[in-house]
Amino acid sequence: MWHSLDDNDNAAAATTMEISGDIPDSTDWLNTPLKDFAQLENVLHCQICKEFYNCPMLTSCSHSFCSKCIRSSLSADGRCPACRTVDQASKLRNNWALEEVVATFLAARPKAISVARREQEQAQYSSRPGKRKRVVLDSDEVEESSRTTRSKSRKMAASQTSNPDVVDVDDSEGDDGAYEPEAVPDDGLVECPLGCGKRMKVEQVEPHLDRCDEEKELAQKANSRKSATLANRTIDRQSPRPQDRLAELNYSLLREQPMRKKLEELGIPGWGSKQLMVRRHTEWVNLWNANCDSTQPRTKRELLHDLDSWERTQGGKAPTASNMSTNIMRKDFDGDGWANKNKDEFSRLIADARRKKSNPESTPDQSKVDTGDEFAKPALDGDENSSPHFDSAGTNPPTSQKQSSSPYANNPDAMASIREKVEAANAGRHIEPLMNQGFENTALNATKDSTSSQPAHAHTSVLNPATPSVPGTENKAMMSDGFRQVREVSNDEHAVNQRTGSPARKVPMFELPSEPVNDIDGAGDGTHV
Amino acid sequence: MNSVASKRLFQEYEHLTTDPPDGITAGPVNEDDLFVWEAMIQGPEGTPYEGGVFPAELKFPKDYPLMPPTMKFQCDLWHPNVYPNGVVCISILHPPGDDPNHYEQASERWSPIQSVEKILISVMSMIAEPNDESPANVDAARMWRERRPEFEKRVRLDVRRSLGL
Repeated sequence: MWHSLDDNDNAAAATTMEISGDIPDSTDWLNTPLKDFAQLENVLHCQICKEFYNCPMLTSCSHSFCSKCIRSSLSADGRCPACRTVDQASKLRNNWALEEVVATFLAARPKAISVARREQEQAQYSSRPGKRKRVVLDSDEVEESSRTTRSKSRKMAASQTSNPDVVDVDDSEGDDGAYEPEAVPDDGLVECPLGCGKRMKVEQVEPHLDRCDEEKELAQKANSRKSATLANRTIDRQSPRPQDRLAELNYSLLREQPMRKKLEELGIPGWGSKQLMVRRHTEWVNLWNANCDSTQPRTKRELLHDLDSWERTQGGKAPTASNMSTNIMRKDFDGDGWANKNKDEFSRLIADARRKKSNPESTPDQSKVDTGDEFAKPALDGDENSSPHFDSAGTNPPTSQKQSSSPYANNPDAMASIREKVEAANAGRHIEPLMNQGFENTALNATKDSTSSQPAHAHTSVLNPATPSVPGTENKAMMSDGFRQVREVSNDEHAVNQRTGSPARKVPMFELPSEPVNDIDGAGDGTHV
Repeated sequence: MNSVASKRLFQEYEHLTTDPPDGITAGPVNEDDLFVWEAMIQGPEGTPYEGGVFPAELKFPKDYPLMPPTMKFQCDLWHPNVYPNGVVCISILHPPGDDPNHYEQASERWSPIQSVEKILISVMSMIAEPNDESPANVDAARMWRERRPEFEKRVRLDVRRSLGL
């Protein structure tokens, strides 16, 4: 089937499309006047892959599934997934009627859904939805699409009733020769006199003539699909397909070496344990046989590509559990720990970014930050004694101090600027305690006012008797760019607890805290100023 | 990574997002990995679990939907069919094939035509109506069978505590 072929070819593209939400889904219909189409679309879905039937097969118990789906399912379980009747892959039969219904529905779907959506929009914006509805339905485009659908399905229905061979031709193995795919269906319809090839009821000819040209294009597309399908089916019949199908092996009777040889004969990879080879062979047999069922068989190369993607997702090259988990962030991910571990890297990156940005603010900013150097120790002690909560803050400083001495030791410029800033800090030191207290009080008030919205750790830290730890955390919170201005105002008390020795050091800690901490600060600052 | 399993999980995710059943929300924890989901189930009305919201984690095997996912509640749930560690014991989550315990109908077990939605609905009804024939939490089952008022009181307490009341 043309659509399924597309799906497989553009597997990667399909994934990106899926993520962006463009994939057709039955729920697309729910908010339109054509709600019932959701159910219609649902029943055209295979119950295993939940997508439109791709080469549907009938089981012995008369359930339909995609060929590949039911083959995989039977080789895993040996029972029909719907009713759990024991069944075998060799007993599956094509369900051509269903396949054509799906193909037709898919061809008609895009227009139908766009019409349904447009009508819904119009109904929403119009005060008289009834009237607008009529207008929409009168437009040429709508008529055209619904006409196509109707006539196509009629054609299909007709060909199925008059030519029952179409349905079961591929199941019968011997007497295929009598079948004529090009036979004109004896369905009581007439062909368009302008030669567009469209068949319709006699009374429809007149209105059709007006739009023949427009419709011709559409019909051509549809016909080319249809004829492609028919042509392929003819080819299928000519090659005796049942012989092409691969037989399932009795794996328990095969030893590893013959098994490997068997796989290599088939042209598929023969590495891995016997168990893996068995799984690979099963997968290959299912892929291959499903392809034999298809009206548009794909090349062996494409099948091998499919097998390869199986290998990468479920086979021998599948990522192990540990590999998988590294790709996603765990829920209990230790953010603080991670920040600590990669502190140097983060600070380097941020410092680089700051340097590039080189905005005028950066100079005073840095000086304030660096003043903290000599007060680092008291702050650190306060942290460690008072609040075990802040092990990140508590463990940060020693490492940063230790390391910070080395990278800048050989850099006279940096050392000079640091010294300069330390002096600047000394000059302003006397106001710090005052500011600090004031700040703490406001912060405390803020917490009282809005306890519910504060994260627990901010709360405890503010109530903590050890003053140094409080602004320290605040500081971390505010250092995001948005709060640069705020910092300008009250940066001295932050400087006290700045334990980092270099411009590069200040940043990582500021990135850590979450929003609510900022809130305290905003509130505190408001009263402050 | 594009496999049958991830395609189907994406389909189910989209379906659950646009048309979710009452009292149930579910979706991948991270859209980059469709094989780990988080679900929230509301306690069914008219049961001691009413008012509670129970988070659970669903982990899907690579050969989903041939094999069922596993489901584990992330909260304390005192229930005869939920192991003390949160793992849910319900027939729809048991793989097809031979039944090691010989108490389940084959028709109740996992089949590829089941879906996340059906699992969560089944779990919701399991919460409402415990099955004490195959208890996962023996203590809870005994309490449910022999001391129903105490059982309900404990459940209500748990629910309140989980809501922070």
